[in-house]
Amino acid sequence: MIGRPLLKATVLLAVSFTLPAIVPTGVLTGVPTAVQMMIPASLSTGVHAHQQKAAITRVVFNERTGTLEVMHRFYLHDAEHAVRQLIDSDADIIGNEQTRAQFAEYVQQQFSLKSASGEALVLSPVGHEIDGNFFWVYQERTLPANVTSLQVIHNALREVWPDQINTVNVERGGSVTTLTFQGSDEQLSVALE
Amino acid sequence: MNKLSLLGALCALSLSVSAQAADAVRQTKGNFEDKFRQLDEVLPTPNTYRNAAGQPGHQYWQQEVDYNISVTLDEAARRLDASQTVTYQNNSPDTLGYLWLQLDQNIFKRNSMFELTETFGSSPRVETGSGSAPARMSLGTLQRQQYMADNELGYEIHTLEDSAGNALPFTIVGTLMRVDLAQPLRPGQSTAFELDFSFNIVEAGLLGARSGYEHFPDDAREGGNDIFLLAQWFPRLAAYTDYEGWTNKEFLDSGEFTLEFGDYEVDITVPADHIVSSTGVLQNASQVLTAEQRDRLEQAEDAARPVYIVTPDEALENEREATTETKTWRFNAERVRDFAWGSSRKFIWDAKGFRQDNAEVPLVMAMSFFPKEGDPLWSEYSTEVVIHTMEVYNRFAFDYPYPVAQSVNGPVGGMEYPMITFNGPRTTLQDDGSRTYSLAEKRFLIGVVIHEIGHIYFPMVVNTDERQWTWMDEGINSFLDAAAGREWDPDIPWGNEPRDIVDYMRSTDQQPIMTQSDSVTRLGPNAYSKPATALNILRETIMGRELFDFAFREYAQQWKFKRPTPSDFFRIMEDASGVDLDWFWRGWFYSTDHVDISLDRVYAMQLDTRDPDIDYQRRRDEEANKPASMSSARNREEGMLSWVERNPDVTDFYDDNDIYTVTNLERNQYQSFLEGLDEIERAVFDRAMEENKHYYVLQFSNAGGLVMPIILQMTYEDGSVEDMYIPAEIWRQNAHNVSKLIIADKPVSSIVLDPRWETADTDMENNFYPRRIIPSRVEAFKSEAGGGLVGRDIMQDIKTELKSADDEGEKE
Repeated sequence: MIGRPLLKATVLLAVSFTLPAIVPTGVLTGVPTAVQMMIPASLSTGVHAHQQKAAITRVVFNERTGTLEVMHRFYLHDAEHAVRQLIDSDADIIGNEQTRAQFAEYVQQQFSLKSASGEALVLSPVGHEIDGNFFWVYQERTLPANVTSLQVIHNALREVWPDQINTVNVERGGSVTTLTFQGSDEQLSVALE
Repeated sequence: MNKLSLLGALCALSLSVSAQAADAVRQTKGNFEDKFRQLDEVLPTPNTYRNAAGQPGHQYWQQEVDYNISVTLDEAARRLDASQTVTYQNNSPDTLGYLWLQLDQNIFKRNSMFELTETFGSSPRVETGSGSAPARMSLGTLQRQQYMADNELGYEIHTLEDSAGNALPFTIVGTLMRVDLAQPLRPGQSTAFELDFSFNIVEAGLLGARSGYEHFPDDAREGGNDIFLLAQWFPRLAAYTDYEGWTNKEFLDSGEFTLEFGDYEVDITVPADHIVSSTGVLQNASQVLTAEQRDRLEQAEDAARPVYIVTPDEALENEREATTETKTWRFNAERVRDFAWGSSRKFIWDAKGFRQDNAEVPLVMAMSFFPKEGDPLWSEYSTEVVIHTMEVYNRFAFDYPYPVAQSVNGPVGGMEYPMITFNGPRTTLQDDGSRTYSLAEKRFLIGVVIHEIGHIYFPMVVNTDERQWTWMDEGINSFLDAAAGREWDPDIPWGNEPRDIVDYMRSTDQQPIMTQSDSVTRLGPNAYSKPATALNILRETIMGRELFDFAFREYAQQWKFKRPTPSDFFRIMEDASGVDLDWFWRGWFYSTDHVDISLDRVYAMQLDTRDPDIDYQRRRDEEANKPASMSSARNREEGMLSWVERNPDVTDFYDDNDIYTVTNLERNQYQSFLEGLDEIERAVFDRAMEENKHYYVLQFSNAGGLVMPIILQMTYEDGSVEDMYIPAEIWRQNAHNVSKLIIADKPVSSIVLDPRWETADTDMENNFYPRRIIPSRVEAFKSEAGGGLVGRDIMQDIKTELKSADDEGEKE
């Protein structure tokens, strides 16, 4: 079987986790106490995610150039169907540079990095391109100093179809640490040696 | 030793023995790692059912299950009511007291194990506290929950009786049902029972199901129309196997199905204006088709291009209104492991015959069924792609064994059943009423139809167990669909390129391919791309096409209409090719190693001639080529003169004879050396001297852990290039570091490891000597901006009117 992109878009509701000021004994922390609604565009028709609906991102500490590089790889076919939902039903990612730019901007909005202290590590757009089966989006910033951990958010396409899986490989020196965003994962952390 | 301590010693002994049993051969000192160890303890012991050559053994057996089903589609209620008679033939050597059936529809019950075990996120460390990083829940998820709350889903089992009409006791266990037989079923015996059941058909898109209905509210008919795709729709016998007994593992959605072969007679009653596409051959065409439709089918048998059986205009007419009458379509299917069908008044239907050189099945009717929402894409390509797939797969595997091959468009993106596949591509309605599609959607159609029709070979005929090993059908089929895709149009990127899998293989959360389907996080790369890429590497790089294709075809031929397991595949690929592949299976299928081979150092060497007049001069030149002492050079720059320079009148013998001066003592030693060589040694020595080759020692390390061939490209100083292939076995005694002597006719200027990116090496920076800076994608992009034109909807864009200066003027 292979999965098929959705015919219609869905928009996510944000479920806020707020810690109660006093945690009663025996009550789990992190119980959702507030639900933020985002404005729905239309409802989802979910299907199995198999070969597609999976993106992979490399976050690379490039010591040679002194930059933190972010390279997002999407299946072109996923991106093409996604823009019809994110932008409009006629959006054409491959034929139209404006659509490509809009999708790249969307990806950049959906991806963010923070330092251990919660300080945003702002990324600059570098560009985007189609290469074979894939749509790539590039971002960068100067290498942050003294980073001991990264907090990562990667929501791209996960609001389009719930079974989107985004993998992030954080690569520094020779070591790789992988974060996988799926289901309701919102923010994941990676400790850097 | 007293009794107590003896007992203690015995306990300790037995504990250590059982610990070792799990890993019988262990390196208990040092760091030797045997990446080439045969899979002795990993693979099951060969037996009379599956032999050591990877073939069905001489006592191979499998069950047979025949079905006679009568089913009625209640269109308005979106409900199926059916009655089935099942005949179970026990070909096993075992006596069976009970039978297990799969109740796949029960996965949609609110309390199914699948529903109860859906997790909220991947990580227990959901970030909480600040409120600034909320977790996500899609509206679709909520809609799904509401749908499941509002609808009674899953099977309703009405009656279950044996052939004498006596009720049989049964127990439902999740998505499975145990039927207790009145009499034990002995080897060679058969039994029959009748089962009546109903269920409400799910909305396929909403539940992400493999089958169900799709509603089209905008059709001319008031209330719209539906397409129904029915699969996993009847209680099917679970497989009873020699390797697992009853394959009665709960259906958790990802691990699909394994079933028994059998013959089917199915009566399908639907609204009289519906067109039915089904597994099997239509038995009553004269009752359900018009004379004209039957004529068209006959014309299609030898048509050059697909012929409409139901034209787009006729389908549009059918869509406008419904009927209360019904018709019963009767289909028979032989030797199939499952049965699926689709029904709608929306269907356009085209067909084209495929003639193959096969006495049993000389003609296959390739057919497509699709609504206007799939046209004009489907009319153009679907049926042609079905035929192309059979042409290619027939060559790789075996002749298509059934009389029909169908592609049906509905709410399912891509799903396979015997003789019938469900495929999802659609076109876009434009304001002018036309329908267009992008190049990417066209590629989706071609790709998905190849893939799903390919599945009729694997796993519908080579009957692998999808619930355990998804890769055995998805990986093998993805490998073949890309091969067929390249034969359709090599300019389309079909995938399975080693370079595309490196980011997955470098990920720390990669899982072994041999992980049970339901435990796999990223099924796409795990069960599709990585095994497909691995097979591509075997074919193109490690075994070569001739050996691979022979062995693969042997696998397909030996196991068609039978049930292979991974070990059978691993064994037969070796047995038929004569290539030891245990290291490959171990690395690619049983481990999470990745490929990263590094060319660490290159030493250039020259043979000593032993002739002192040559060798001593070489040493003298080497010394002269070294940089002078920094201190002496600075002394000279400062104008300082040494004692020797200030006193040129004081000289002796050693001012004229340096340490490389050759005397007759060395010349005599050289003569004695030559005289000491026997005839053969002298010939070797003389030839080596004469050829004066260049000797290089290359040192490699294996940073990724996966052993692979070392593929080298040497560039010589004169600009010429030479390729060299070192089999993976170079790593057999040391999987971490190896060195290799290369003897070259001319001096080498540079060496590249894996120049054509065929091994999935994750880090190219250490593949070059001398080292080369490999720009990252970001760097490369900044130096040369990328782009692409492949997915433009040119069909629509071409209607754009050209704006001229005059047009601008008119507006003003």
